[in-house]
Amino acid sequence: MASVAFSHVTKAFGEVIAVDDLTLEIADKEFLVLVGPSGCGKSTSLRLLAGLEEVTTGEIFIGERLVNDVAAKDRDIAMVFQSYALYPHMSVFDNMAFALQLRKMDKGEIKERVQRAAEALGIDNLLDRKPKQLSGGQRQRVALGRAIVREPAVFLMDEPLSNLDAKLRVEARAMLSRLHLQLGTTFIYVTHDQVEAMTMGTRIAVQNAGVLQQVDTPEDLYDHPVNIFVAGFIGSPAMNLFDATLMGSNEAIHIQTKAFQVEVPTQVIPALTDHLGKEVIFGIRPEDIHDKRYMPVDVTAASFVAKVDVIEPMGSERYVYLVKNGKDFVARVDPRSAAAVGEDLGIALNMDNIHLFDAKTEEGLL
Amino acid sequence: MSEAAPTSRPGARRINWGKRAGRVGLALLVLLIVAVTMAPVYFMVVLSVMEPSEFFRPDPAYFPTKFTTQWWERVLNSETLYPAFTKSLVVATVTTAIALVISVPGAYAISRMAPKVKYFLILSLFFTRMYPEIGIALPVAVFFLRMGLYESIIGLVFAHLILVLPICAWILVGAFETIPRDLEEAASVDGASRLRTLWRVVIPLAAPGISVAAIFTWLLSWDEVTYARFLTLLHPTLPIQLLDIIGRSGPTVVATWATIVTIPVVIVTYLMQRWLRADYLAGAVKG
Repeated sequence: MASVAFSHVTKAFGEVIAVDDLTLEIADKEFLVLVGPSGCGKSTSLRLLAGLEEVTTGEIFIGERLVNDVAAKDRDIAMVFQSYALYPHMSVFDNMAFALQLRKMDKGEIKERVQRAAEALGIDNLLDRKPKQLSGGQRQRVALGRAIVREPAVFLMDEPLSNLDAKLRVEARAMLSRLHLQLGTTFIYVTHDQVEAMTMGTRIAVQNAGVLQQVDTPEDLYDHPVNIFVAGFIGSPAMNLFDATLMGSNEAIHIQTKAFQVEVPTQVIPALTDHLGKEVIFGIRPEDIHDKRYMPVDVTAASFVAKVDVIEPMGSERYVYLVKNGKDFVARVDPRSAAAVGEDLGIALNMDNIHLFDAKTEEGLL
Repeated sequence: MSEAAPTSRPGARRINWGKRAGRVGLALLVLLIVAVTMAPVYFMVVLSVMEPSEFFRPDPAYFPTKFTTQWWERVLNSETLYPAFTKSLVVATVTTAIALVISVPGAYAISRMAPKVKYFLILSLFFTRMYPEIGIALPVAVFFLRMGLYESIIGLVFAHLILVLPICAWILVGAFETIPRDLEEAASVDGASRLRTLWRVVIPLAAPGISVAAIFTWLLSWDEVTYARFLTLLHPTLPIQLLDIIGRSGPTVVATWATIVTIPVVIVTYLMQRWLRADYLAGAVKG
């Protein structure tokens, strides 16, 4: 068990900067998810921490120890690889026992630890098998088991679920969350899947193009994205973004887009007066666009009419793709909504949950 | 990964004649290739046990009915057989062992280098083989005479290493390249040093490639003639002895000698082939 700290860590591969000045502190027992599109530097960050890559500049600490010059084998970390990287010539038992054997642990204790971990993962009946005799889900659990038996200071996971099919992935997500609670160890988890990030992380670090964008709890990340990248990356379907201009005066401000014009709630006016007349990006999440007839009563609403382009019924809700003056956007509406393709639908925006970004810096204004 | 068994409908299977004909055709083709490959071996072995009356006639029998052990008795009682056999066996085995000890770590290191460096190194391995052996065998022999290595087993081993090391290393680089880097990284995170990773993970997984390299090296050394001809005079190796016999004896005796040269090849190949498996990496890194 240990905390982890990156301090101004940069990693360059020749000309390419994979990780740019990363400073990030991860508390003991935290489940931190590093998320971002492919090539954003998240895997490299993890590999730097694991000792599989050397930092170009900056410092990495595990607990109080500076580990820049500590070899991977001496860092007391366990890692689950995307490919699982099981040793194909060893049985499941030997795969899990390998690290313990290297540490010259007593044979009885090795057996006990492997048995315990295998039971926890439901693979205790597979210990004699070779990796090639296992299904994908079983291999994934063996890879986890190999990490668990180590009882390491920090768990690193590099997209461990991406080779599983959708159903197994959902099960594995719950299993990992449970495991984190049971083990009480620091987990650092890399994924490109924002759903995995949102469902498992106690905190989420969003990376893009080697640069850390925002670190926050899932709720704060979702409700208060600091810039357009985070706003667009977190959430599915993604947040609707509109090019807009802020018009009006210090008493009343409205957002003018090509498609529509809506008035901002009075409580956010003070934050926006400096940007009057300037170009901004207006963002609103699909669930904050309602069918007007099913609008919650206690919110500040701005309503207009848009044409329904496509409807995706999801059972508990419906995604309605709308078009207004050539601009399309998506709403997540009540399943009772009578929206029909080709017809005009009266919609209402929940203005209490709007997002505004500076069009030039792409930073959040609210 | 689906764990459900595929659904099958009993009685619904139709015989696919086209597919079946294809299989039969393939089997016949394989049989033909085996026949062509094995024919010389067959004649060699058969010749060594043929009665003279079956062979010394205008139309020698392809499938003789009368056999004799006289050629074998004569060759096995020959005084020249055992020293030559032993020398070849020792030279080939020592050459193989040294070649592996040198080229396993070397090839592993090369296989983990940047592609450009790797390509250059592999190419330079083969530069050492770009001149004809016959051209340097004499200078080597003169040099060995001065060094006191002439006629010696160790001298011949050195000479054979010139021959086999590039090929052995080249086969091994290929073998090591197929082993996923992830496995080594997993081992290093698990707490294994570089050397231990090589010993516990890489070498066991490269066993098929290593055994191919070993068989190949052994065979190259076992039936090597050029260096052996220049570097031995009084105590020849088995192939040199065989060459000598070809000039002095009849076909049946030559066939017997040739069979004796072949038997260890079969044994070595058989012993090594249990390491030759195609699925040795299955289950490592694919979901």
